[in-house]
Amino acid sequence: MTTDPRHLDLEQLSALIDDRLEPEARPTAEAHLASCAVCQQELADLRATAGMLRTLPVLQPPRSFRLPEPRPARPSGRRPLALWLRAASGLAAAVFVLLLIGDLLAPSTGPRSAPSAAAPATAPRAAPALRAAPAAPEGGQPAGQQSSPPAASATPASAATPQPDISRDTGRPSPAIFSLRVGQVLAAALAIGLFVASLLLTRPGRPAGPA
Amino acid sequence: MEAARRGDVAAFNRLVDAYQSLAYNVAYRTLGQAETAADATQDAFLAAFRGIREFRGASFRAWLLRIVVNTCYDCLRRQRRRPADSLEALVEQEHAGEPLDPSPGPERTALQRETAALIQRLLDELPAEQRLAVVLCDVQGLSYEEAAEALAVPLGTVKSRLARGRAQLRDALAARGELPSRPRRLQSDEDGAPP
Repeated sequence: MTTDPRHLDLEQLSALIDDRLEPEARPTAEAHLASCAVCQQELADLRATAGMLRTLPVLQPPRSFRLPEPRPARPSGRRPLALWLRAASGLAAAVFVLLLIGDLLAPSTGPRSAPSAAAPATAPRAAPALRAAPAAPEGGQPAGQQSSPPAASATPASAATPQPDISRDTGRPSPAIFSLRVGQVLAAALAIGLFVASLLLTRPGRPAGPA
Repeated sequence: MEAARRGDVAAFNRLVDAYQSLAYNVAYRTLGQAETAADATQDAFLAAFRGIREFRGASFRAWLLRIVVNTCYDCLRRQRRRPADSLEALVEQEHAGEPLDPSPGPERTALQRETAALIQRLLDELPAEQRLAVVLCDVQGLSYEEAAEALAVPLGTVKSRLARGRAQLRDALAARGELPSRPRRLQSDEDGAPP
C-alpha cells in the first residue's frame, strides 16, 4: 500500500482502473503517474489482479432455482372420476324429483272416493311419470344407473295393476306407492352420497401454493 | 415483472431463469462451496418471491443481489458458528460446477483451472465485506452504484472495500508468482515489499 504522500494512494489507483477517479483529482494523478515508475507498477499489478478476477469462468448452476408452480388442473385420475360422480349425483337427484312428482300425483287423483272408476284414470297418469323416472327398484338395488333399466320395466306393471288396492287397504300405501317412496329414498341417498364422494375426491387434491 | 409482483409464480420463474446464473455465481464466489452456494441461491429466490411486493427500485438485478448478499452473510455467520460444516463442504469444492461457456471469446479468456481455483482460495481468505465488493465489481462487473445498492452501503465504502480487496489479492498473487504484470523472478525478489 502506498503511504508516501507523493505517490497515489490505493483508492486512487483502484479508481483509475475503473476510470472512476474524481475529475478534479485526475490531472494531478495522471501527471504523477507519467513520471513515477513505482505507481505505474502498482497500477499495473492492480489492473492485472482485477483482470484475472474478470476472467474467472462463469459457472453453470448445479440445478434450477425455479419455484414450484401450482398446477392448474389435477392429473387425469381424480378429476374425471369426480366429474362422473357429480353427473351421476345429478342424475339421481333428477330421478328423485320425478319420483316425488309421481308420488304427489298418485294420491291427488286418489281413488278413495271412487275406487274402481278412478283406477283407469290414475294409471295412465302415473305410468308416464314412472316411465320417465326409471329408478324405483322394488328390490332396492342402489347400483346407480345400472339399476334404472330393470326398474323402468318393472314400474309400469306395478303402477298399472295395484291402483285399485289403495281403496281396499286404507291404512297402508299400495305396493306402487310404497315402491315409489322406496325409490325416492334410494335416489335421494344416492344423489347425496355421490355428491359427497365427489367433494371428498376433489378437496384433498387442491394444488398447494408455493412452498 | 408486474405479474410477478402480484404473486404469479410462473412470471417470477421467468425472472429466476434470467438471474439464477448471476445469483449462483455471486453466491459461489462469496461462499466458495457449491452446495452451500446453491442452497443460498434457492433461499434468496424464495425470499425475493416473498418480498417482491416491496420492490420499488429501478434495478431488479441490484435488488435481487441485495437479497443474495444478505443470504450469503447469513451463511457465513452460520459457518463461523459451525466450522465443521464448512470443513465438510470443502471436500466438494472441486465440483463447483462446469464453466457455463466452454469456449469463451477472445476478450474473456478462461483462466487455467488451477489459477481459477487459486483465486477462489484467495477470495475465501478476504474479509467478507471486501470479498463481496470484489465479487460484485470485478467478477460480475457491476458498477460502483449497483454494488453500493446491492451491499446497502455508500459509494465511497464500495470504493475503499474494493481497493483493499484488490490490494490483498494482488499481494497474495504476487507472493505466488501469479501476477502477469510482473516477471516471476521480479515478483519473488520484491515479495511483499511496498513500493
